[in-house]
Amino acid sequence: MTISEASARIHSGALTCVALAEQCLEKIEALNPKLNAFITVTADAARNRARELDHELAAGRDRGRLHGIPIAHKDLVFTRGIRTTCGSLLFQDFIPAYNAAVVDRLEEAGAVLVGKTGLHELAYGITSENPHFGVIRNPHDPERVPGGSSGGAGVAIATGMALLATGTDTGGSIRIPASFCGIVGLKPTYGLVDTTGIQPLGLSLDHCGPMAATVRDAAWALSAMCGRSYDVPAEAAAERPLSGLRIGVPSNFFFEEIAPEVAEAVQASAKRAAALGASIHAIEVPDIEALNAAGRIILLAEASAIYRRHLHRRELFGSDVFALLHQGLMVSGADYVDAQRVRRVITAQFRALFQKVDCVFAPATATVAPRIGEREIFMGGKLTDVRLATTRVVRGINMLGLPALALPCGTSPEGLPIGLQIIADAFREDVLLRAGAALESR
Amino acid sequence: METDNISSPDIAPEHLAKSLTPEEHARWRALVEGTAETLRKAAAALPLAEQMAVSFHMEEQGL
Repeated sequence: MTISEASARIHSGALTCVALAEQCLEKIEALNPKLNAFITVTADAARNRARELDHELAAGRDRGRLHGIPIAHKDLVFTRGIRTTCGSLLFQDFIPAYNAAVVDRLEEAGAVLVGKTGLHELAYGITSENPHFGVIRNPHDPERVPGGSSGGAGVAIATGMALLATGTDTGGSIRIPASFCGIVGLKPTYGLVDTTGIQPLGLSLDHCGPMAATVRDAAWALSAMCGRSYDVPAEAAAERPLSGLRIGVPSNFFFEEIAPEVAEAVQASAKRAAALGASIHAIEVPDIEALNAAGRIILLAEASAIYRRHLHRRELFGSDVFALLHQGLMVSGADYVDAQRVRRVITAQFRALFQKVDCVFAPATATVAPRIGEREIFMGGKLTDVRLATTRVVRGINMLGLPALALPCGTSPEGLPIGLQIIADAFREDVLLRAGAALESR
Repeated sequence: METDNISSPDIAPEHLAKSLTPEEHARWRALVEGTAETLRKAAAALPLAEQMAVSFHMEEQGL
């Protein structure tokens, strides 16, 4: 069930908030032992909150589109009185004294918290193979990863364990699990959603956004998360809903070193968009290799600035995260400054593209979900590190701060989801939602 | 910052480096240097004027 379907049924009286919460809790009970999407389940609190919301609605207090909608927060989003582990032994007993700003906003909008979702340790990785809280498994093939770092959120939405989830994205952590799990993930413009009360990883790269089953659901959630009003346009179901929309399809970088079935699915999406009225333009994007190198330097340094005081406690970290945090200490100040300079120049170059096009179509990930334990994959005829291959098409967008929407655009021969990434200019989430909704409805 | 709630004494980077094996130190240094080398080439091509650093996010928000 989608948020818009559930909301319509709640508001018509065909479904109670309690019954909807119970549906999600039953799915969690049935599926979580196998898939490990949740670190903490807040069943009793969810039932109590849903009951209150039913009473409110009966008394005429309607909180709007998210009234009674079950939500799962990523377990680095602070929840008052509820353990928030950040997927790390450092925080295994941490109980925040206050809510993240986004939690307060969503509570006010009527969302019902059903639990806290698992993640890659400290959100510093893309597989969600967490050494402390267990491997999170992809519902499309439990021998594969769900992506990360918001892996539990991706699984929760794909299985209906929650109808809405919060994710964070520092180098692809919303879009990668959305792609691997076959759901919708929206990384908004940097700063649009307040990240106060969310454990940071890269202070100049961190974003928070919604993960949901449909583009409309993501639009509704984003509205509650940031206080601006978003929806999908009414013409999404019209014959040519994308008339006048200019879509850029990169002729360089984004379609290099990716799996053939991914390239085909993304190109097919552009053709579908053209059939819906959009015009397609071949574009050349700036030097994303340089942008990615700068992004790795910035993230290494920023993450280590947060965690270096804990690094003498090696036993508290997984080996991959410990290695990255140590590498961050090896970044020179001069390289960090150069990385910020490169970032500024390429940002200006990239944004100039939006004088010619309204959005850019690219893959959300270079491959379908890798197998659990897989460290290298063949890409472009050579063995490549899974983390680098997976973040290659998403990391740079965090550097630019631009909004990006990941949504399903096909399946591989083995039946695994393939994700499309749509990128727009700063604060043009409306463009993403328009294009995404039109494609999704076909 | 909330990590301030988690108690660990501050520790000097040179002391931390001693906790690594020589192989780890060399491997990780090589990884960082490889990335930094790509970055330095890009940075070397930048015009000096680009050292002016004003975030577009601030501009967008009228700050």
